[in-house]
Amino acid sequence: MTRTRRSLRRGIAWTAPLATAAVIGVAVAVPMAASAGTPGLAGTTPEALLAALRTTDVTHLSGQVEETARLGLPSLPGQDDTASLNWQTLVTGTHTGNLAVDGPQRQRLALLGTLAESDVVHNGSDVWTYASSTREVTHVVLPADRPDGAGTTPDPGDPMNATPLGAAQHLLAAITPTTGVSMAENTRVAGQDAYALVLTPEDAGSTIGRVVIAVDATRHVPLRVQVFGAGAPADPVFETGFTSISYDRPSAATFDFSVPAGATVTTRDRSTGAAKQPNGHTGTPAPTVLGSGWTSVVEFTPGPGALAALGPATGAQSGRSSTELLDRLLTVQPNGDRLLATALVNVLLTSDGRVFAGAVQPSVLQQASATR
Amino acid sequence: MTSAAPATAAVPLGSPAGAAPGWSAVRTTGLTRRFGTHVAVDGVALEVPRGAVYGFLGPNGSGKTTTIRMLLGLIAADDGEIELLGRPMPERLADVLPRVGALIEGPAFHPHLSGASNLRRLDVSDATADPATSRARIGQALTRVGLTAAAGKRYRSYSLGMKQRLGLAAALLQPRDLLVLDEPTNGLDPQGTREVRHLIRDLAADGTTVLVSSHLLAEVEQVATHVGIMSAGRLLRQGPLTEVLADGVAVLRVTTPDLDAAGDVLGRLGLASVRTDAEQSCVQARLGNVLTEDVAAELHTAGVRLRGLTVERPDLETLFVSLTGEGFDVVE
Amino acid sequence: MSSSEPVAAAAAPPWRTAPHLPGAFRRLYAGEMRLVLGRRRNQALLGVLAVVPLVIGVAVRLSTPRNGDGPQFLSQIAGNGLFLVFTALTVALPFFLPLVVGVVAGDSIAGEAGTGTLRYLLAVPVTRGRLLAVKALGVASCTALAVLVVALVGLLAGAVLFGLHDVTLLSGDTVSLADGLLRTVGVVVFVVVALFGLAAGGLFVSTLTENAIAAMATTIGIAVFSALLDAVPELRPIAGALLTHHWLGFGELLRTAPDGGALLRWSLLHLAYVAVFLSLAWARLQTKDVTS
Repeated sequence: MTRTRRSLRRGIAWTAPLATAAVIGVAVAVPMAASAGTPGLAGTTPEALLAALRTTDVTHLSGQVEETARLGLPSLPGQDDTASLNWQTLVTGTHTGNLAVDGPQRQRLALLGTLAESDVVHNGSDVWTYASSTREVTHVVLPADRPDGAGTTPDPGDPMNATPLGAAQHLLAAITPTTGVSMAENTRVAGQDAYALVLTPEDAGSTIGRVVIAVDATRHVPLRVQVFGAGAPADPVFETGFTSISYDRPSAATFDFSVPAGATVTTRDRSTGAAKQPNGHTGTPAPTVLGSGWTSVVEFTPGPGALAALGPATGAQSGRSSTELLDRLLTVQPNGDRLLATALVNVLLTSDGRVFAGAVQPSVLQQASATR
Repeated sequence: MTSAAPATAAVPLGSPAGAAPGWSAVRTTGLTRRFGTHVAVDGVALEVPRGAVYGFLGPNGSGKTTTIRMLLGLIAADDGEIELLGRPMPERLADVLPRVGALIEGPAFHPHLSGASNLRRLDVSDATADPATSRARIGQALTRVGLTAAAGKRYRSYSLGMKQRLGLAAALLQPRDLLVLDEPTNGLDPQGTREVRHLIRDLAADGTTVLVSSHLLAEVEQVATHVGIMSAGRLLRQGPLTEVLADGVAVLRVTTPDLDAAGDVLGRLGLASVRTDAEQSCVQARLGNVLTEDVAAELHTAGVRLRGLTVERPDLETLFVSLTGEGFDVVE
Repeated sequence: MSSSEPVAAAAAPPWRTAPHLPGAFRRLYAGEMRLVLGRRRNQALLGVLAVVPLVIGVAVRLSTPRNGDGPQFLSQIAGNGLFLVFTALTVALPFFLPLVVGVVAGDSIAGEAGTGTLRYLLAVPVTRGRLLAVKALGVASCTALAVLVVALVGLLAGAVLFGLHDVTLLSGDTVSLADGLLRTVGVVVFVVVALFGLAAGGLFVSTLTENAIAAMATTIGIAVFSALLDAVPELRPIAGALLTHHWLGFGELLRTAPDGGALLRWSLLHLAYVAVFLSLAWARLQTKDVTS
């Protein structure tokens, strides 16, 4: 076949879209390639890094955080980004939030949805939460002497746990003498060169295989936390990391919150109470932590309707549907207890209404419930 | 076609062919277009001299429309060159086409717009058209095709003939050097057909070259100065109408009482198919290349008494049919 | 002075190229807009778009919705008419706006090919590049007009029915009405640019066929198909690159501190779609045999 002039012209014309696509491809790929790769950093030891991580002098930062949970839970109602976002939705899928921190007394975390946002603003003794889709505000007043919430019981429902800062803090607290500490290949997170610190529980009772914490090489801030299951799956079962970060001090206005017009406000004054309980359901006793390290278990007795809160909630009717789903996920144990098993966290609901939860094997939960 | 015109010659456009022999209104060489394996146009070399009314003839599917679309840059050619008004196409399309009016495979307009609005749309689309005189141009074009009264009516409500006239009006929006009219009398009544014929004559008289394609041969014969005949993608014959017709098989008929003598003379002159018809007392034969006056002189010399001597040249239709391969024998 | 050069060179015809007159493209564009906006079908579609905010506004006026009911922002309309703009855009984005964009873009070239007017436009001549440019500009104008109709009718109806007040953002912070209106302008611009991607897709589809209805349906189908893909969990990794994924990203402008980088990235994605589709349309139109 000889090429005619027409087919030649045709070929030339069609190179235009190819060239356009190529230019766009390059424009996308070049920054991606630039941000990938393993930076050459001065050598360090895991112990030194661990120490630096604990003593970082960074008190303020802001950035965007992406959190992904692959707990093996089915997609639940309310996963639609346009629906309301509740903290409970963090247990499935990927979520994005904006984090601003200025010292222990001022934090703001905004969980971003499409056309929706849920904010928690901590400023001094005030903790505000706001959900744009329901326009509900909760106002918690903290004890005046402990505005940073220090010394209170760790709250598994605290959304700060879903940020690299909160997650790293919890995981570092779990380190025991038997925990293996090592280094992995250097990496880049949110445009920052980072060391990768690996924690290996080496505890048969834990569901965690290993934890990889990416640590900013110069400022020693945890930029990303990846939790791999005990079965050593390729993808982390839980992952949270900055996608962008700035070490500038956030403007003071970031932490101002005034109740918007038309919002419904629930106030809980804990200024005189003993325990902070941001997710507090009325009449619910504070959770108790049993044990320590990787196999610590949280025990609590949920109030009426609180089971629904374990599943993601989407406005008024979601309580029912998530309870139904929960029922399907629960497996009944020989002794009548019910077990909610996920890739990371297991939850045991005893027949007498107590709940035991932890990143531990079900047997540890059984044991805990039996000894109590 | 090798004589060159002086580069500075101010030849008025549309002057008869020959004044500036270097360029023609339309000239193609080796124009070829295939659709898949089907060769729609096969090495066509059109030559439309300036000022000519060129009848472009051929049955449906012969490649006329594809050729015309290639001339106007609507379809790309696989091979060959095109020159319109002396400029290469489609390279110089933007320069050439403002001087070319076209009616391509029937009129096509927006049905929801009036005739005048449709013309206005085309007029504003012409980057070389002065907006100040747009209204006047549209009015003139409508007047020229006799549509002034229906200018404000929606195109949707036009009759077939009115639509055809509006198509012609669009082709006449600007003074054109070349008009390409594809089946311009389609859908017109005899009166309309006559008007189009007059229009073409008027335009030609003004110096506009007209390329008119048609399958109505008799109609073309009345206005064309040149013809080209297409069949199965090939241009079988083209040239001035008289020459093309002369190429045809003319039949000489001698009416005489001296049948045998006449037959001898014709045979001696080399005319073919000599046949004697005693009943009609005439002899007829194919004239071929022999000149009629030579035959007359020879007959006279041979003492053949003539009652009548006629030469029947075939009309365009006869020629067309003989060329396009449908069996036809002039000598019955 | 006579020359002995070959015919083609020596016989340069003694006519001069007629110059393009100033404002020619503007006249071509005006003609295009007259054609598109003069079409009853398109007028009716714009009317449908105008009805969207009116219906929502009247419905809210008649029955105050509770928080969390219906589309986003619905419960806020009664307190601030400006939210009618956002609600109407949210409601119109999945279907009504793609419908209008699909009809106008799908019809742009396929419609002319279908009626046969394409060959007469090209014979005027309107060169193919110029034709694509004016069609693209026309489609873009109609896209912007469609969004503006929703936004302006929403704003007017909202102002009349509920009044305009300071604006509570998604983050719970409240900004002045002036700030809110400025953000609204940003929302309209973002949505218009987002829809340009689909409009350019429609323009490309329109060069592929002579059947205007098919081109319209295909264009609307592109938007629907993209939204469907967006809902498939397995495709999450590539969802961010889908044509429709960031259409509701205008919500970013309603946060206390809009992420300018994200807005820019999403808009660049939409413009990348425009570039690809326009270059495809150009290549197709340049090589297209106009046989209709």
